[in-house]
Amino acid sequence: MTSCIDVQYVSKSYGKTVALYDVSFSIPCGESYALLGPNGAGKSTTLRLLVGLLKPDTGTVRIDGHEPFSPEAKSALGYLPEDASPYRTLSVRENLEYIAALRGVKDVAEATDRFLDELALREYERAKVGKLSRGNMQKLSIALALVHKPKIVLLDEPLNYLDIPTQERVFKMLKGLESTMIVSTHIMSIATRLTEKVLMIARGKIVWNGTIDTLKGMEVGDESIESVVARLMTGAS
Amino acid sequence: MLPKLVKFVLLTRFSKPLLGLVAFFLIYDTVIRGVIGGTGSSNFSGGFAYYAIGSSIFFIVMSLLFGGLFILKSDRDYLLTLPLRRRDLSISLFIAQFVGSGITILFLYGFYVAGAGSLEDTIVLVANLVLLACLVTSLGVISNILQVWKRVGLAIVLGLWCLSTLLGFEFTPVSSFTGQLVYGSVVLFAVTAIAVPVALRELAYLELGSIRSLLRSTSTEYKKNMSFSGKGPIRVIYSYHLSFLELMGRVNIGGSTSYRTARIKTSTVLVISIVAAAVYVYLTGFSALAGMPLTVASEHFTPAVFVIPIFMGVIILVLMSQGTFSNERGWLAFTAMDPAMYIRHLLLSRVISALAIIGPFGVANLILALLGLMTGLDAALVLLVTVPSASILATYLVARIGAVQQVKEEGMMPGQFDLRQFLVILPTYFVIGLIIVSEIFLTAAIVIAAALTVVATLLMIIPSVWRGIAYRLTQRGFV
Repeated sequence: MTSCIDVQYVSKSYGKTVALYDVSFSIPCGESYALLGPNGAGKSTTLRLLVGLLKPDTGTVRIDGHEPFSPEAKSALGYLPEDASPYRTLSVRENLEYIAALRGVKDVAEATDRFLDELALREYERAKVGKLSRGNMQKLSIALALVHKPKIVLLDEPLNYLDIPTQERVFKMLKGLESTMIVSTHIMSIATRLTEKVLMIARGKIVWNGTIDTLKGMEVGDESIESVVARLMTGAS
Repeated sequence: MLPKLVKFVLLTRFSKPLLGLVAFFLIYDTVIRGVIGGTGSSNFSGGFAYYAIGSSIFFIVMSLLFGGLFILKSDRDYLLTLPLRRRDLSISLFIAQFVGSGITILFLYGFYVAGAGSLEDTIVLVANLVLLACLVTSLGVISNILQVWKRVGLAIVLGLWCLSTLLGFEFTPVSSFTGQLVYGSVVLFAVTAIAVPVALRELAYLELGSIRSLLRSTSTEYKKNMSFSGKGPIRVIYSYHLSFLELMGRVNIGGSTSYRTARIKTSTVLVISIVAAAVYVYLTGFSALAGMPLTVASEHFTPAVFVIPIFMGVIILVLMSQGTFSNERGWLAFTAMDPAMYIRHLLLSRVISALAIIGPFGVANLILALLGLMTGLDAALVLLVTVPSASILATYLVARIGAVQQVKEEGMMPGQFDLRQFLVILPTYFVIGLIIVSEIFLTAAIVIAAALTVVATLLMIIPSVWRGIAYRLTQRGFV
């Protein structure tokens, strides 16, 4: 199966702090992975390297066979960072139209209207983003990450700040995507509902890579999957 | 408790190296003044009074218009909820405001006391300077609780009051700088005595005042949406930035500091600028002011022709270097297209929109040159070529040294204010120097404008320069 994401021997440091060390993994097209790891493990750095916002010190990153900053990779990727903030001086609709047009979406108005309705943002269409509640800002951010129907989706804590009905709506939307997906999260229920496989990272290294079913199979007695994950992460550190 | 609180408030807002540099400047100024000493006779006439009053008006007006609070998000969540004595809290926050904004005036110590001859005059002028710094600090705080029209109105009233000093009115807050030491000091003390308690009270109850009004101050909806539908990727960048002038980021003019987001229609700015430029042509070319020359390096100038390019240059440099990236969203823009291409068009579009402010004044100066005021030619060259090119360089330098901060929440400092942010002033001073030289010598104006244009163009066409900036911004926490 072709790899949509291919990372080989990547290291990245911020000054003297090593964020990632000699990391390698591949994600076949169409598969969904949860990126798990303790705070400061290097999850956000991994996503930023994949999306081309950071450059690796060593190693290579390929998105659908292309360099992350190439136009091909840019059009294939949709990215949602943690605590995402859209353009504060634009309205909700302006944000969606601006980014859709910037990404070369053919029917900008149609794409905008679709997301306004799907994420129940219609009533905030003209609202200034700086005045939105954190939950509505997160809904808009999700829409902005997906507005161009990306082939590869990278999401960092996508359900933060969302109320339960909206979470369900987003679950449904993400499950309906036929994209390759990496979801970085601390919440196992999100990982198990959205993905089939897990990439576990601790102290800048990949410490476990496998299926959610395998993880469940590692439960001892009435141990929860969270305990298994904690055990693996702690063992790694 | 108070000393500990002051220390905490200062160190959470300003880095130690920055505080060290501030202390160094103050000591340096004092020592230099002490060594040079007075001339023995006071000289408040001519250029000194003109510039001392002009600078004071600049500081007062800018504090009122762009005043901001040195408040962190964590203050709102933690500090303001602690059971602290309100008096201690307000004094601590006022000291932080003073260090962050009012102290800028004290850096001009040498300049402001230049007219004093005797030790007595020096002491009085220094006292005036400290009062002026407290007044400017207080006005920066007070501006946060005032609606825009009240802020502008008060700025106009205070500005005109101070300006009346030049017409011989003695009872103004700045008349000390024309030699009216007693009247000037008394009036300045009185005004400061009103402003400081108001500011202290405001700082004591921030969560009930400024922070609440900040959240409520503007409407939550735009009356009309901009449409980007049917436009290509490059065209939308221009469409966005040519439609509105964005005031975003750490607006730092005349020592005032605020973190704001606002957008103003470029067409509105252009109309205001054209009207102002027409008034400028009339006042400079046809009115009595035209016969009020200023001599610099043996050359005669009309003051406005000399001062306006400097003033506008500073505004454009601040707007460009601080505002270009602080509202940018790397996760959206830099992932949608090559950051080099995006930033290149972003900068060009912002330079074009900045010309809506300075362009009419550039044309006005060309008209003045045609009317025979040849220094207008220098000023036009500065406004139409030097400042736009320099603003691209300044934007690059400020981003390169990592001095720009991303605004994620209005009204709050995004983080500690460190030496890097302080250093952003250096490119501005450098450009001011170039502008002054350009205005004195036409040949220098042509050479400087050409050189800056070549450097800015080269910088713009090298993709790795702007990709590097995008990586750097991400590493500095831009999302």
